[in-house]
Amino acid sequence: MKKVLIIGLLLMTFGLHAQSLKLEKVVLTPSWQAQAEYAGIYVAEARGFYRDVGLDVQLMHPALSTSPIKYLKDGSAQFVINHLLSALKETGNGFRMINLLQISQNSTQVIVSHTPIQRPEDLKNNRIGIWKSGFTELVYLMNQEHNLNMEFIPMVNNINLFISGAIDATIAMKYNEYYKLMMAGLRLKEDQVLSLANVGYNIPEDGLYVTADYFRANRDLCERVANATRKGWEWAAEHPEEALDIVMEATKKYSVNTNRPAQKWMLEKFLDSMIANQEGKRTYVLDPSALDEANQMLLSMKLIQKRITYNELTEP
Amino acid sequence: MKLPRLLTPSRSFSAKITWRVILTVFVIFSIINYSIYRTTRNGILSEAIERYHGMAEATNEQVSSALGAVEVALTNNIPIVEENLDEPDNLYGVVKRILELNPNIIGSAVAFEPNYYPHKGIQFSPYAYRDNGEIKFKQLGTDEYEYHYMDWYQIPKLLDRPHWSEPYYDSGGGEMTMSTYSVPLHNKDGKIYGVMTADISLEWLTETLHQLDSIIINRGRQGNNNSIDIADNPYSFIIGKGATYIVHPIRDRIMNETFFSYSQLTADTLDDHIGYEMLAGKKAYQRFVNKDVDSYIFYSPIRKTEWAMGIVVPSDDLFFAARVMGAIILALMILGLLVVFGICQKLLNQVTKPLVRFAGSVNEISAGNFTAALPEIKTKDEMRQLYDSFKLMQTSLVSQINELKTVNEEKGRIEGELHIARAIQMSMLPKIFPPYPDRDDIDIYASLTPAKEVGGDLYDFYIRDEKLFFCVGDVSGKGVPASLIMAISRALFRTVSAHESNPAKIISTINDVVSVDNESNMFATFFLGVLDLPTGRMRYCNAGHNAPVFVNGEDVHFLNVESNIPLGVMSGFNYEVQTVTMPYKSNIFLYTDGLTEAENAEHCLYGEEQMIKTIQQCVDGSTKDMILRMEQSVANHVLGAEQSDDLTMLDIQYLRKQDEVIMHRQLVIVNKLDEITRLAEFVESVCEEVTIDPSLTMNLNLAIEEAVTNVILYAYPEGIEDRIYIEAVCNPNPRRIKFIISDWGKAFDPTTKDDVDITLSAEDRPIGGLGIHLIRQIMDSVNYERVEGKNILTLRKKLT
Repeated sequence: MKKVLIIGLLLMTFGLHAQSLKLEKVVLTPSWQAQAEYAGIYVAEARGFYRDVGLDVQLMHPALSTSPIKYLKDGSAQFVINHLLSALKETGNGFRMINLLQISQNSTQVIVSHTPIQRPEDLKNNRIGIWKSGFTELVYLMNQEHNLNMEFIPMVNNINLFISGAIDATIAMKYNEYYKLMMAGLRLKEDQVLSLANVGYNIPEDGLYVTADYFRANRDLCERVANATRKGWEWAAEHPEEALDIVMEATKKYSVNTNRPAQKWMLEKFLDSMIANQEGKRTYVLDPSALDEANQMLLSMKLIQKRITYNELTEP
Repeated sequence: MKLPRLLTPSRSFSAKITWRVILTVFVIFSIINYSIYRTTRNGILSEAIERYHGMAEATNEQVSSALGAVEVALTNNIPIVEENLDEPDNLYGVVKRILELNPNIIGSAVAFEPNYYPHKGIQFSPYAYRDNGEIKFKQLGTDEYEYHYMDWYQIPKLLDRPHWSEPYYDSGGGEMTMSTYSVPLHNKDGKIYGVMTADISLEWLTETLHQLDSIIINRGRQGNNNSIDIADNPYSFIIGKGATYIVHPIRDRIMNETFFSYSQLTADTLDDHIGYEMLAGKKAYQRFVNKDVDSYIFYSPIRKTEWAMGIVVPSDDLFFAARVMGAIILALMILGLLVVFGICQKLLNQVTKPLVRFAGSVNEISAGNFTAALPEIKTKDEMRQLYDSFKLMQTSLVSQINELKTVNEEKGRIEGELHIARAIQMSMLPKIFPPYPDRDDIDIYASLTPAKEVGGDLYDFYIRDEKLFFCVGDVSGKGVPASLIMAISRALFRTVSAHESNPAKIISTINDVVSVDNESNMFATFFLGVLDLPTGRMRYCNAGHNAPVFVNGEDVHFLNVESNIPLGVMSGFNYEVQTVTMPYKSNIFLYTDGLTEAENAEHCLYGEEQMIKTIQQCVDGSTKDMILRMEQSVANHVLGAEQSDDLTMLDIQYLRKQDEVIMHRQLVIVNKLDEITRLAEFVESVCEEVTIDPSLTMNLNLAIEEAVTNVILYAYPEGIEDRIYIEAVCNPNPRRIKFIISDWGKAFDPTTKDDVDITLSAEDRPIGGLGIHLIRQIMDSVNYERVEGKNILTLRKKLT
């Protein structure tokens, strides 16, 4: 019995050693530059959660004006963080993407204006800044539904256009640009901020995606990445300060100009957005009703021709 | 040793004054210095504010002019761009030239709108940049760097005006932190067809502010160390339009943080306010707390851009000069106080040193050395006055002490003389008792206890012509003056009574003498008695003295006396004589008020009552018993209390029984010389009857005849006839005879006539002089009395 145990232990040690020797190298592209929005990924990487499951996950942040899906398409990345709407749109247009993990459960997009905006109608004929890299479907939908006739200004930097007065309003993530605007010395009043979720456009955002082909070929690996990422997020939620340290390391590593208070704000707000409305906790699973809503929106905008099913998005 | 003494206030005169002066000077110094400090401090603050504003302005000017140069460089080249629009590749040369001409510009591009040159693709932007000192070219727009969406392109295009971009790290272009000046390019229709840019490195800006910092930091900033505690040092910074730090001593903050990243972490809203002001392009300064350090911030906008520059200076640095000056003022004040202290001490010591020496001299003087040396004073101030006063005091002390010495010697001498006077005074008084041991008809005892050395009381007695003359007197006051009056009175008593037997006359005479020239207003009470020993008849006169006590067996009472007035009060006073007859064994007790007014410690007087009581207790004893008993009684009363007055007592006891008469005959004649024959027959007949030998009979006859002849010849005026009584009495044991001649003629006392000078011729002798001499030769005693208008002359002769 004892012999068996020793041999077992030896095997385990060698086995683990063998595993670490041949880590599988994959590339993950977050949706934007390094920030606390991806804290779970940096934590999983820094705490060795990926390595523990035999993976060498390399992070490749996209150029500021580029959508991450481009990296998925050209094969330079296997995993991407993307918003649900754009993933559905790509899928609907024939580039099938698989949702491995639904990270955020709510929309954190807000519109900030120089003038008071209490209703979408207040934005009529406004020149509004949107991200060049995408994730602007909700604004488009609102523009269309409310017939706002807005002029969209794609931008790669996030707040300078708005601050310089070159645009009337700007799209902003509550956890990111909104905070930056405040830090830039704008004394925003409540009526200058319009939350899209509050006006009926609450669609979950960040999710971890791979192409359907890749998923089929590397199902186990995909699950390992998903689980390790999930583990990373859980750890970050439990150790926000340490997670913040890791995030700050990452921002430095990827030459992102930011600061700790900003990232702290972002982490807190993002963790809030991860709480599923019904369950009241982090589920990492896409809510089917949210998918229905997203389908509805994309269909109404004619961005997709037919409804994309839950299975289509999660099982190839 | 010396300091603690000085530190104890109010120890010495000089310390006291020194401390008061120091305190006053300290208060004045403090007020002046504080005012100076406040004024200077405010001046320094204004100056510092000006200085920092000036520095900010200078730096601002430097930055602005550099930026202005960039703007000019770019604007000047726009026509060249326009000239070369047809040859887009020539534009590389244009942007290269911009770099060549302006060393501050690190990159320059002409960026065209999408598909401006269809053959060049969507993006076309000739770009020149510096790389290790070389100027290189590239086409800026790529898939990775879509410049149409960059701030430097979008903002000037959207705003349609030149714009300085917020600083950014250009990862697709220059690979450094830079800011880009962009000018929109318009075609003839006014439509924007592109943007022309010039990049400047913010390293240059940082360097400029570093130079500023090294000026404002006296201690010098330690490189770019992020861990430096910037709050303690002055520093400058620049923030962009979005409050992002463009220049900051902490490098990590540049591009990463905004002014509000930290200011909003604190509850203090002032720093937020400063940020808003800076973003609003205000130029001002504020005082605020920068990371717990009280600081000032000076801020102003940077022209051309919408950036703002701030200089933060800890208050300590700002007020450093004021503090240094305050310290110098304080040091000077302390030094000044020390100098004042020292001078005060020295001066006051100089001034008060003589005082201490004066104290020493005075101690010596009080020890008895009146000629002790005084400290030498050379000044002519209050010390000199003090010296003079001391000197005067010394001199007058010596003279007064000498005077006192003389007085004391004088007093001693006087006291010695008083002793003698006392002895003389006492010697005047009869002191031997019993005074007449061979007489059995009289017993006398007296005592005089003076209160002072020489007293004013007196008593005296003597016997002349079978009459006892006695007196008691009390002179007002004590001592020598009283004793002198006493001596005079006593002498007068003796002198006057030698020839006068009438007490009233004696007293009147004494009074007249004493009253004359009595400038010292001395007076004396006086009682004088004349006791006729054969008869026991006592005539007396009182001059204001206490009534004597008359003792006859159990009958003790005060003698009935007229008070009259004391001697010496008024001359010519008419004193009255009184008479009493003393029976056998009766006493007359005389005293002065020293007896009745003898006081005990409780000021209780001995009193007449006690005196009478004491007398009653010893009516059977001798005079000596009486007086000793009285002395004892008084001693018991006063119980050792100091005697306040002279105490004099005189007790006379009459011890003569009435004689047995073996013959008593009387002859009445008229005042005619014819009657002498009858008188001679009467005398002879009497002598025969009592068997007196013929020779004595003849002598007696001669004496009687002489006396009666005198009366007949002189007692009556011419022609007046009156009777003359001649009484002859003979007593046995011892056998003696007396003749009593009575007449009603004018008063005439032959006994007062001096003995005749028998050497003179008969014609020259005064009247009666020879007669009385004869009578005195024959008879044993001649006694005259004037009683109730009657001259009574008694002639006595013992018969052996």
